[in-house]
Amino acid sequence: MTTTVLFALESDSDILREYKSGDTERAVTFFVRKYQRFVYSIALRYTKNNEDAQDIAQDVFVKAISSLTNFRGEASLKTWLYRITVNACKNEIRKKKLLRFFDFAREDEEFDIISPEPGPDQIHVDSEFYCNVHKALAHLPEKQRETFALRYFDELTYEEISNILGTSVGGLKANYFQAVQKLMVILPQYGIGGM
Amino acid sequence: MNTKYGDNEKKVTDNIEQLIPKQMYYNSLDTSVRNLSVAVHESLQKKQRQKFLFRKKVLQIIPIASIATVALLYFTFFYDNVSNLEHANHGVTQDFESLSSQHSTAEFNAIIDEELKSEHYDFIYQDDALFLFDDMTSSDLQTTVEDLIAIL
Repeated sequence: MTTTVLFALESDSDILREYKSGDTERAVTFFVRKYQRFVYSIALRYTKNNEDAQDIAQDVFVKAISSLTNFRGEASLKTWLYRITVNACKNEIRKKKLLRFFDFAREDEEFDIISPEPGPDQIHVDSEFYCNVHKALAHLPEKQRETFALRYFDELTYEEISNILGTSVGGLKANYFQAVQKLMVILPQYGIGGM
Repeated sequence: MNTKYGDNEKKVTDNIEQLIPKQMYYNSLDTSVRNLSVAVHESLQKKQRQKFLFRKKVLQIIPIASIATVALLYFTFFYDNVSNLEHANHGVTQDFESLSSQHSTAEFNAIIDEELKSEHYDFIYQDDALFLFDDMTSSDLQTTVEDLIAIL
């Protein structure tokens, strides 16, 4: 029983302390496991592509870990990671747009979120569900989509989301409700519920 | 249901939860990120290795670069001047030889003495004149020799 308590690094401060004390490998593992879903899902919402999202998530973690010792703790790790991820995504999108301008990249904006090499445990139904959820989310304006995802999937408080997005709590609540209303209509179009 | 939601929010969230079960969403996300931790570790190790190799290369390059810089400075400033001076001296010697072939030694010495005296170098004799020339730039030497040629 005690070993679980001893070996788990639950909080951000535990991870940071462990990292700064020199046991970087363990701290990195816990850090990545704790935030991988969060970072990857943001990247996926922005890039709409599984491979790009995975690459961005990897880069974001490498970048974040490289400057983890300089993390001042003024914001939470989640807020900090969100900003790094969104910046990385925007840079990637800008790069893609430029390539598309010179016709080096494909034109279509279709979702490509099914892993190119599906493992034995990757259930097709899950992938389809996941793909459809993201397609539905893509119909929402950026602010509503981010508010909904951060509140519903990442379970952040409105105060935390307000720090991240720079919108008032009241505005975020309105965004969330509007997003839910729209999704209730959009999701059935993608075969999720209602049919 | 999560207790963090307020009453109104709980109602709408319940509705959406029926459409998008969180656990199902998380499971599909986990499938995509299952190797992320390993990939990040590998990237960090690669980065660390590159950093180490870069430092090693820099340490290897520093002595070579220092020697190369010294050599370059030598060839740029010192060697260049030495060769210029040698070249100038060689030209002056040739000019003197041509002068001395046109006149006898006595005549030549007399002309040189006179010229040096007129330039207030009367304490310098023919043999010492070359020391004077050593301190002069190649253009000064050329002017002096041209003057001498004109006089002769």
